[in-house]
Amino acid sequence: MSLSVSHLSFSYEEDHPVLSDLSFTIGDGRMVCLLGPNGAGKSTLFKTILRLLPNYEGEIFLDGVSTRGLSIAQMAHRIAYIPQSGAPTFNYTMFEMVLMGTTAGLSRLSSPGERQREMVKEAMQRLGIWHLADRGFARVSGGERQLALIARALVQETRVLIMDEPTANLDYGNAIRVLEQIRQLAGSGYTILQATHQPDQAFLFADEVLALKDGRILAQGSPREVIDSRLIETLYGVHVAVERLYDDRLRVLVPVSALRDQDKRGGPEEGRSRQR
Amino acid sequence: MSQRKYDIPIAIFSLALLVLFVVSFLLGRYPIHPMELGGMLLDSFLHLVERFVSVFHLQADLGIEPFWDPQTSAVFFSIRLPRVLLACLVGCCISTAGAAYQGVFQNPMAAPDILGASSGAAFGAALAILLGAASWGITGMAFVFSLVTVLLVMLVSRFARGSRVMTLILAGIMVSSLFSSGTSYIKLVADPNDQLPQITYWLMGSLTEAKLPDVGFACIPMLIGLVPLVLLRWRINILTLGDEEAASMGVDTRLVRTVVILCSTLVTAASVSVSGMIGWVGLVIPHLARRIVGNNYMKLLPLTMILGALFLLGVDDISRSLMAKEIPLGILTSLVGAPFFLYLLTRKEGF
Repeated sequence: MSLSVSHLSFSYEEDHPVLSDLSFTIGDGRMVCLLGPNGAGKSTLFKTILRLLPNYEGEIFLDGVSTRGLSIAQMAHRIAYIPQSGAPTFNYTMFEMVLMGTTAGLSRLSSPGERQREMVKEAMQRLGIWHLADRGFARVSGGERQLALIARALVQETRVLIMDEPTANLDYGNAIRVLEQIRQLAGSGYTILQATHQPDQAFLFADEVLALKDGRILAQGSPREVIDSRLIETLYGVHVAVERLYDDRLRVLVPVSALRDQDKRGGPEEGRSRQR
Repeated sequence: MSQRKYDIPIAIFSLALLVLFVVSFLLGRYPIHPMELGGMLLDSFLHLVERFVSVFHLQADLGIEPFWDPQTSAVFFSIRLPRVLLACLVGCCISTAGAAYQGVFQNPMAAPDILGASSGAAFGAALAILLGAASWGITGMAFVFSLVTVLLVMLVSRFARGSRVMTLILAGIMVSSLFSSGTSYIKLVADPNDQLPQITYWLMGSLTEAKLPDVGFACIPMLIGLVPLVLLRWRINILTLGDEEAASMGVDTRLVRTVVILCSTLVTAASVSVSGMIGWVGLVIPHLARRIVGNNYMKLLPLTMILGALFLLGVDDISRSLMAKEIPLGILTSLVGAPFFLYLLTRKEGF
């Protein structure tokens, strides 16, 4: 399912637009990284797309159909939202947490039954967390929690997933594992819009990058076309060098200040020996 | 698969409730023999059948020749039966309301009086006693003021800025304290020989005055409130995640929260108006149930209902059989509830 936004503007207070005149299209089955500093409007953009903030200007389309007339319940059939994994007030089991996602497909007063439990089992097996089904959500690692939230979005049976910094607060290993799962989902037909604070991740995992600052889109395109030292400086105010590794099969960003510090300390050789 | 195993505690505690329900009829200052109890129960059951059959124009002469004292029968039907029924209903209702409030306010410390339902009821009852109302007048005023208080809180929070949950709780605290000062003022001006003790005694909470009409009066709002809560119990889970997450899963958070709050308030108002202040049950019982079946309201709410009825029935049995002078229920629930809660709090696993 494709997601497109046309001339979208939103403001909480008059004359202080948080989003101004955004237009972009995310093709079916694409995985897009949304880059932008804190306060760029990423969360607000997500909320307007999810219709949690209905008073926006412009239009949002899913497969070319405007979402403006849709109710909260109808939206939940189309787009699933994956928040950052905080600790909920009550410690549900992993299974219960994932089961909550099936609510989108239930009628008003009904509760999940055998079919929904099967869906949960399938989704949790797919993400490799079924063995944790009876563990408390607060008692597993941050990465496992994030995978549970992704499983919860899967049982919502939508084709579009919106993720708010899924790797925030995760250690390096967990972050990579979660991103690999997300990459696989994109490969199996999900359209994914993912906010991230790590531009390097875009090189590794994204089809496209959307750069947002002060409520405006600065750039959209493939990570290699879009991410350069100028964009990163505009977005985050830091100098970086884009390094091409393995005959440009992989790119990474290196802060220039870090290189300078290395020079002062006498180069990487000494640094390595000091580590030993 | 996971989840199924939790039906066992519900079955066990249901059975325990059934046993205690029957045993409670035998307890008290006026002894009733188990044989007499069985006879009376069978007799009234047969009379019910007789009435049912007569609908189809059939003649039946059922019932047993009474082998019990007519006084026993009077004690049973006008004192013990309403009291036992009411203890179960009130315990069930305030526990359920507590569990529901904890969910919608995403706050494990929430209790049925969080929005001022108890303070309002206390004010209504005190006012009715001051005005010299009869017993049904006190109950009615308590019920009405309890509802009015919560509606006032909801109205105030509507005009407040900030998070919906937070403003509701703050408005609840403010409006409660307003009504509490009203109650204090009434106590000040009440006749110290006659009205003041009555007010004080009402505030302590008791089921001594329970009569069958009270059960009938309380039953209706309780049922009206409990049915939607039971039906919506799965969705209370989702409300605990916060508004945005809940909405992204297709739940109309405002509608569900309002319905849950109104229903919880209705059952709390109905309970408090017939029983007076009964503290701690609405906080302790949901947490005990959480310890046994976890936080999923699909299992939590039914178990809370059963445990609440079991607990209050047990405490009421103690209250009327422990000493010659009856101890008000509210005192006992706090006496039992507070240490019990401390025990839950200090056990190894946290919330």
